[in-house]
Amino acid sequence: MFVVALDMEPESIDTVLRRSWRVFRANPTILVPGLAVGIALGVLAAIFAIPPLPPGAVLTPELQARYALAFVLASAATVLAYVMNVAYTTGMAAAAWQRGTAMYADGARAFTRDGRNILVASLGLLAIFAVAVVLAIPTFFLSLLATVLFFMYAIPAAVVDDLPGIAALQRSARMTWRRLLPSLAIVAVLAGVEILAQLLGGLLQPIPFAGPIALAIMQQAVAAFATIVVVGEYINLQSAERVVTLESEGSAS
Amino acid sequence: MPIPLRIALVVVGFVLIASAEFAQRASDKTAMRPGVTRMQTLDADARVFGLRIGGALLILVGLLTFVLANHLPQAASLRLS
Repeated sequence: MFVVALDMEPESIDTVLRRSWRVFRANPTILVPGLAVGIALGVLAAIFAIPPLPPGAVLTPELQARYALAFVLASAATVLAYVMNVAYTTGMAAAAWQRGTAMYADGARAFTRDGRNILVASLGLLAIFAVAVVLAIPTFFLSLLATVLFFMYAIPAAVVDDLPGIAALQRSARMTWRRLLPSLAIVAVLAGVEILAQLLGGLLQPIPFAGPIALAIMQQAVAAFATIVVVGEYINLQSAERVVTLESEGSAS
Repeated sequence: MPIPLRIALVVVGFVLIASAEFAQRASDKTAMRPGVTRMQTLDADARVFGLRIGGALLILVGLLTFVLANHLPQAASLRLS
C-alpha cells in the first residue's frame, strides 16, 4: 500500500468569505445553541448565586465545604457549557458547509462524538495561551497573534476529522504553516468584524432592557460567523489536499 | 425547596432527555419519507434540541438544589455569630 498526495489549489479567501456569509444567512440557527447555553448558564447563576459572607458571619467548616463544592460545580457547569457551545456551533457549521443545511442534531452528534477531543484541544490551547501571555510583552504581542493564527483550525480539526485533541492542534499548526498569508488574512478580517461589533455593541448597550439582549445576540452572531469562516477555510484546505490511497498487494514485495 | 420537588426536577429532566432521543429517532425516520418538507424536518429538529436543553437544565437545577440546599434562600442559612 502507498499513499499519493495530490495538491490542488484551494479556493481564495474572498470566495470562502462570500460563501461563509451565504451559509450564515441560509442557516441563522447556528447562533441559537450559543444563546441557549448562555441563557441556561444565566438562569443557573441567578438561582444559585453564592452570596458574599455578611459582616459578622462565621465561616464554619461545613460552610467552607459547601462554598468549595459550589465552586467546583460552577466550574464544571461552565466547562460543560463551553464544550457544548463549541461542539454545537462547529458541528452545525461543518454540516452547513458539507450539506447546505445545519441541524441541531449535527451539533448534538458533534457533542457526543467529539466532546472529549474538544475538551483536550481546549486544554492544550489554554496551556499554549498561558505561555503566549507570559511572552506577550517581550514579543510585542506577536506571541498572542501566533497562538490565534496557528491554532485556529484546532477545533474544526477535532470536529470535522474527529482528531484527538493534541493531533488536532498539530494539524492546525501544519495547515496554517502551509497557508500562512491567507490564514493571516482571515484572522485580520475576523478581528475587523469583531471590532466593528464591539463598536456597535457600545452604541446598543445603553438602551434599557433591549440593549444587552441585542448585544448578546450580536456577539453570538459574530462568534457563529467566525466559526463558519474558520470551518469553511479548514474544509477548503483539507479538500485541496486530496489523499488518494492506492492499494497494491504486489508493490510491497 | 421540598425534597420531592427536587427529585421531580431531576426525574422530569431525565424524562425530557430520554424523550429527546426517541424524538430524534422518529425525526430521522420521518426525514427519509417522501413528501416531507425541509421546514418540517427543521421543526422536528428544533423540538428535539429544546427537549435536550430543557432536560439538561432541569437536571442541573435539580442536582444543584440538593448540593446547595442551605443556600436557598440565599443568605438565610448563613450562621451569624
